Amino acid sequence: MRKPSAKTSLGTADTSVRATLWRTLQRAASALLPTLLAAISALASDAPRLVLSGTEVDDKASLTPDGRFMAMTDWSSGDLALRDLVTGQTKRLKVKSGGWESDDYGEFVILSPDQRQLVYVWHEGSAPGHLRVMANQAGAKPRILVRNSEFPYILPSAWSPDGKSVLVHLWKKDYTAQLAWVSVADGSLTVLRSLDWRGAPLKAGGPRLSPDGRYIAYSALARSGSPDSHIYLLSADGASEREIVRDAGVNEAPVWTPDGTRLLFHSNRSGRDDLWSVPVRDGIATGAPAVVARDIGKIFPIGLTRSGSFYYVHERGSENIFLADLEPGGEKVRTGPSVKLAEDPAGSNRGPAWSPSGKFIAFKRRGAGNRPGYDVVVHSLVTAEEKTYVSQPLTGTSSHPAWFPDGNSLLVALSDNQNRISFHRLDLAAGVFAEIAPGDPSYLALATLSPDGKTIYIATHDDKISAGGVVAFDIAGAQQKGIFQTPGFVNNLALSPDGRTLAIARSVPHEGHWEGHLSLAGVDGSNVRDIYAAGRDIFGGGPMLAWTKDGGSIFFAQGEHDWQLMRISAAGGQPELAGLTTTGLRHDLAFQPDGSRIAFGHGKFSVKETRAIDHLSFVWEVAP
Amino acid sequence: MKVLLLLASAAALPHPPLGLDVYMPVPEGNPLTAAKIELGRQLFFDKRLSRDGTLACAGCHDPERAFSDGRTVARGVGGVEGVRNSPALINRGYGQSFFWDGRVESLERQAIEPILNPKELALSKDELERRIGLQADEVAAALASYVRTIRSGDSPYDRFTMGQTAALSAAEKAGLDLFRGKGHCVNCHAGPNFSDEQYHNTGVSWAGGQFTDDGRFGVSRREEDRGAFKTPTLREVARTAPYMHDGSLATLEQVVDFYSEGGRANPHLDAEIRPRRFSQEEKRALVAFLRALSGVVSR
Repeated sequence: MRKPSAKTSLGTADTSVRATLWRTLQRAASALLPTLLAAISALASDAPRLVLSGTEVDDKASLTPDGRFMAMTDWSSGDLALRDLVTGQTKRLKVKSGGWESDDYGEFVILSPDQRQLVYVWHEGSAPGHLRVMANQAGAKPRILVRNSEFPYILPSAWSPDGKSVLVHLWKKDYTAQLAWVSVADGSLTVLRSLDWRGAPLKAGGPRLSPDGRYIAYSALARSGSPDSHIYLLSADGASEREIVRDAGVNEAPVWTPDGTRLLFHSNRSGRDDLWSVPVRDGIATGAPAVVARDIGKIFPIGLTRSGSFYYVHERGSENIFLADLEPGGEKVRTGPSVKLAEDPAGSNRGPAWSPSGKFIAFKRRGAGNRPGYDVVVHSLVTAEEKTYVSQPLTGTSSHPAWFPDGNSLLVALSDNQNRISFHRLDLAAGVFAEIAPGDPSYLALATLSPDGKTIYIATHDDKISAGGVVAFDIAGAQQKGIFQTPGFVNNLALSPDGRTLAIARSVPHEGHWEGHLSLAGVDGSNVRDIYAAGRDIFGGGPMLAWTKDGGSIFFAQGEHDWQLMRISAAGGQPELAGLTTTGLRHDLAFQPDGSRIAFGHGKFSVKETRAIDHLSFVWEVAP
Repeated sequence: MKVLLLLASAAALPHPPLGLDVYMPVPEGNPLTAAKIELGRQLFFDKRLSRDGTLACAGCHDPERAFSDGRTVARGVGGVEGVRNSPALINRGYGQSFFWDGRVESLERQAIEPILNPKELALSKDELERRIGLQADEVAAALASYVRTIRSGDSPYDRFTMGQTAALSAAEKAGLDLFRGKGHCVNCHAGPNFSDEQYHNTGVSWAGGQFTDDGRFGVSRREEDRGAFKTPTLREVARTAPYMHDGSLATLEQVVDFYSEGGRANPHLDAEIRPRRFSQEEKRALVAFLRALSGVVSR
């Protein structure tokens, strides 16, 4: 078991120096420019300390106010756990026995103020999670507080000081958000505040109850569809509300200082991801925000202890686009290391698509900081220049774009605030996204474009009957017709170079397990046939499917964590290894138009670490 | 629960009916008090607020019709007709802007404007103050306070969402699915009050190649707002016919038909307004669901 690292050499004396500096600044604050205050404050914080890594990391963990325990999910098993941050020992609460032989798991675990009870979300199979409470005792029998299919997400944030209520944020079926109290006695719900679709940033840190229980700090979009999010203080009884941080940019993930005089929050207003602080009293801001720590990155806050340690989870991806040469004839990847297309600080490049000229690769990159969704990036293979296109207020999906034949525009799948996928034409010169296929609850973010650019073939899924399909959407007529259906899911689809045949990778239920089938279908829905059927779910590890330049073969990836690139003749037969075997995530595959190279998305799962910044008590230990 | 006891002692507003938020934005300059709410209630029904003493606020906002009036367009003193339908005055305390075109941003300003409007109650400010013995601002504050107490909730839909799965019939549940899904209705009729408080062009005011009412454009002066109107609440909608800003659709069935065909094409038709091609069964389900939004109106 990994123990927390020992205290650094920065001890009490250094804290005192910082406190003196901070006090001086605070006293002079009225006369100083906020930027000067922010700049000097930033100098006063420690570098982050690594606390946990691997399966010990839980970005939905919570801290007891004394900083002694972290309530969390044990991701090696799905069980609940309490970690003693002093001893470094983790105790499983045995809500489930064993490990991942069962898919059930708990998350959002919070200890009650007297530490006798825990509230948490429990997931059983594919059903939406529900809210439970249990005694803080290994093996104790849990009690269901709220189980309601109208609330697919009911996430606890805090206990009321008297332990009789739990603050939750809800996402309803239409993805609108609400803040509410749940009675621990009977599970009854009192909705304090509806946020409609402004509540999306709750993903990056939920509402936080002030130490005295009087105020709820939360972040929400400044208005529906806005790229900016602000921070609000709602009185715990719902009687009043104030907007306390309303500066441009993403301001989110507020965390109270232990004395309730300040809020720390994440903000990208400077163009970087920094930790900021704002003083508050009686529900209103009493001063300007100031920087506490620079360049903190993409974070999920956990909490701030009385001793001044700010715990959070830091996330960094390692996904990128790789290029690999093909052997003459284009049937195999040439031996040798693949080439990384571009370095990306966020490590989140996915979904390559080669331009018709072969000079550009378009792909997706996750939005900066905590901004949800993916941006479109067009990378020049000639100059290595990149141009980024942001689709807000609609959110970019991670799926690959597709080039229109003119080479000047891209087909892009975007998601609205109800997770409905719509398809848009991105004019690369103007940077404008124009809707061409409106949002539809059945659409998946998987589509391919006919060679003449007139028809989109879109993968669909009907949740009610658990069936997948493909529709052909005529752009000019804005009409669609179904051309393919399957039980289970369509995992990916690719159109033959002549535009006449779709290759469809699908996962089909069979006697209690999933099987992977690779099928071909005419674009008019005719002549559907399987060319390969595996007895296991070979496509479950991620989409990767493309036709060779001559249309004679199809490349696809099979396997999950360990995967191989395979080639199969369009006429069927046994697939052959196409010369690429690796591990980790995989995302999409594209051939260079001349058939000489492939581009593919690949990487490891994003790396999350629980970190702490210590000695932050100087922020609140002096009176402003 | 402790939080509710705190609220009860802190505000004059009773606990909201099921389905509505506890939080209601109230301006700091006009805190709710029991006395002010009662004064506002009396003024709301007081015909002295009209020039000829024949009409009160309740003349166009009848409590028996969920605070609407059943007419195509509002009718003021002397039978003068306005150009827009009287909106139902329910849950307006949760509103962000007022009137069909959103031309005022406070309930206080909303409350006083019809009294002074020559086509409505047609009173002058001086005459109002003389008759009532209060400053116009005080009248507005009292009326706004009362309007904040007019709330509708606890409908079958609300009981269903809180876990009473039998509160909606099969047809009403199917209607709810359509409302959220194929119909895209929820895109504008969002949240507890079934309104996004935004402005949308559905084409109702487009006739003969021009707009008969510019709607929001008259306030914003932005061309894209021409013909756009604020999304009305759907609470109690079964009791607030006729529908749309001009009262041009008499029944809920007609409203569903209108949207099923994609509204009325015009240069600024909202992107969400598209032909949905509902089947007859789907239309019946949608209407059934809309009727399930009638509940308890507190007043």
